[in-house]
Amino acid sequence: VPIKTSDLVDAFVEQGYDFASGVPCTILAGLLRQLPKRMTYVPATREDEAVGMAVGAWLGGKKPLVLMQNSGLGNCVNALTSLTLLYRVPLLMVIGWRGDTKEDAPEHWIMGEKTPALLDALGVRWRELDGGYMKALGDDGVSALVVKGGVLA
Amino acid sequence: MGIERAIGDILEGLNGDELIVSTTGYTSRILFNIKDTPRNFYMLGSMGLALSIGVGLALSQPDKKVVVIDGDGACLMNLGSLATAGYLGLGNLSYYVLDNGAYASTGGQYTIAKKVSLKRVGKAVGLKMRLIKVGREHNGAMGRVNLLPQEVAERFRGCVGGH
Repeated sequence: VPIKTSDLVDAFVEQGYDFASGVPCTILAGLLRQLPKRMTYVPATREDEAVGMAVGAWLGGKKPLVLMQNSGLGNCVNALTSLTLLYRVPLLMVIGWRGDTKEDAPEHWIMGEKTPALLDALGVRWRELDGGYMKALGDDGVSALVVKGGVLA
Repeated sequence: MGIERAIGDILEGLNGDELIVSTTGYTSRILFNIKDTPRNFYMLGSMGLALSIGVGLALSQPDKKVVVIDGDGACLMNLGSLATAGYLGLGNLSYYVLDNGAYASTGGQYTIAKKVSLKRVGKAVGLKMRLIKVGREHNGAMGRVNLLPQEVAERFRGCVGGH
């Protein structure tokens, strides 16, 4: 059963998230339409820039989200290892998971397969978005909600 | 002008209640050694993200002044963040770039800022940059930032308040 995008946005707002940045992903298109109506959303030119802005917002007292496609996860590895993880910034990344099957476009095959291993290697706690998302992620450390195509309606 | 002097001059022009984000390497070391305060956020890594951090901070603290001290190499690494900052046009954000034309912290390799005008890049994206030419020499004896990363973050958040 798909999850309603508005329910996910409500859950984020209820959990106190009040700032978001990111780079678009088709899988997150609905979320990118709704989220900016409920909190500050700043489009980033690259995923690491989004992480940087989220950290700045957190330093200023906000609770940030970062949205991206898994193809952009590689772009922010240094931002994660030498900024968010190093300074212990609580950050929730919402990552569209392209290439979870080989039916997706070829440019997504390799990162699609490596996404879980990459998150694990970095020490980012993650889970796939499903009905249990609301209690899945705590406030300590970097964590990620990975979203497959068709899960968000 | 030496980089220590340039950072000292920037500080002299401030009221003292600004929030400062300093780029990784000697810039943060020098700031820490000249005048450490909880209002300084010393980057220890994530080269290229100083302005992004400053933008997030300026957006979330609109009543406070935010000062970002970057270097030419770090600025070149993330030109996209200049475009974002120019797009947002934040009145409470000041962006300084100390331009020594070199990656001083890794041995003085040259940057392409010698030929590429960062000022014109800033102009093109609508961002007012305060570019300061500095020499490559610096006091190598200045110690590292003697704080744990999470201490830097927590004391910074503590003095920003409002949470």
